[in-house]
Amino acid sequence: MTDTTCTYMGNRDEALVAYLYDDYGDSGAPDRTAFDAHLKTCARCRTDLRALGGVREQLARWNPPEPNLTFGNPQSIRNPQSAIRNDVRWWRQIPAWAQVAAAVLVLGASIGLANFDIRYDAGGLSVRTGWMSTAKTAAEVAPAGAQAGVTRDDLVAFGESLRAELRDQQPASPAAVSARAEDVEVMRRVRAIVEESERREKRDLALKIAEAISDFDAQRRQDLAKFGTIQNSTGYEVIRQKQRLDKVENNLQRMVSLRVPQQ
Amino acid sequence: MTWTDEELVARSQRGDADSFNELVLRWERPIYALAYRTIGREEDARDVCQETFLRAFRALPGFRGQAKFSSWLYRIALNLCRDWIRRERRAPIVQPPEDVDVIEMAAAAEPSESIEELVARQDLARAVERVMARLPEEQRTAIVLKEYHGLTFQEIADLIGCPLSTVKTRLYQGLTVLRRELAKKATL
Repeated sequence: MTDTTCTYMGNRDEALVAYLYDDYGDSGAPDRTAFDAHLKTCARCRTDLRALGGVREQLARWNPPEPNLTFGNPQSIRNPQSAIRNDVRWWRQIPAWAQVAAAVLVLGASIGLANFDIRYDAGGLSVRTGWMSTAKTAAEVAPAGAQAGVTRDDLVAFGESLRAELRDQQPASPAAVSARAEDVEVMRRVRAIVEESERREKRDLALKIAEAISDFDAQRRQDLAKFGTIQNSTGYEVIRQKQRLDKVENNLQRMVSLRVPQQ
Repeated sequence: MTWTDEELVARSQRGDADSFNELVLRWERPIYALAYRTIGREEDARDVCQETFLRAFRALPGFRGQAKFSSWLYRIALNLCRDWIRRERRAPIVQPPEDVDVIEMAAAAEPSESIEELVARQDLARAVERVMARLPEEQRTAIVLKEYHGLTFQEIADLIGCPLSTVKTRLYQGLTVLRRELAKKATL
């Protein structure tokens, strides 16, 4: 059994933690030696010390979750202010009006710096900045075939449209009449293609509907079969219960017949 | 070459931003850990940590080295934690444990540790966290500073502005509560 009396003369609690952490500050070794001597005779203090040591071991298991400290990344740090403020919420603390004002200011400054030149003329809308070089003349432009994004088909289409415009501007001539007849033919073909496409879509839709109906039907049949199985098993269970009850009843009758003497 | 905190502080005061960055890198984890163990919320601990360095940066020209740089940082962080607790008017929050993910757990396991051992270790850590969260703030702070940051009793006393004996008493009381509560949990 542990002796519960402690004869330590000083502040026992303070002495225990000082010993536990071996932190005596300026007083140093004498205090430690004195408590060491006390421990040899005091079972209670020894028990407490052991228990507190156990608590310290348990405390060592508690670690904070791994932090995601955005401002501590040496790659991202350029100056302390930006490093410390490298958090989205810092920006969110600024009122909305101030954010809008800042955005307008930045936009205005950017436009000024970039030397924006916006034009809308016969050539269409063009936006140019001071950072860009002036538009090159046609002679400076590389051959059309070498331009990225412009295909041969585009050029053919462009030529066709030019020709069509010229045809519209010229008075009607036999050649023009012939061209219009060609246009009519083209329109007829386009219409035919569109109609064919519509027919195909309708056919696909009908197929999909038929498929869905078929799936639904198959599922329904499966469900019915499953339901039938459940019904059967339930029916079987009812029959089994009935048989059991019949058996009990028979037994009871037999017992009754055994007890009541036959007249 | 590794500069001491004091040297880095002096260089920062002369306008060397890289030196202050070095101090941030050196102390951000301890400060975050202090904040997390004091207030118990990861996100808020990050905010406190960030705010600590921001305030330190602003106040750096006035820092005359009366205390160690780390003690000065701890003081700023503890004041911010105290403000947080006062503002929230509640005890530190213990974040609920997330769903157990066996794969993640396996990755977190020590090489010689089985999953069962890891679960037990994590359960114990959570139990410690919960009991710590219920301790009075002054006892919790004394334990955190002593146990996890290795400050001397005198340093803690200077930091929180109380007599040395008070620090020891708070520590003893806090550890005693932990001992009792953890023993209760162990028998459950």
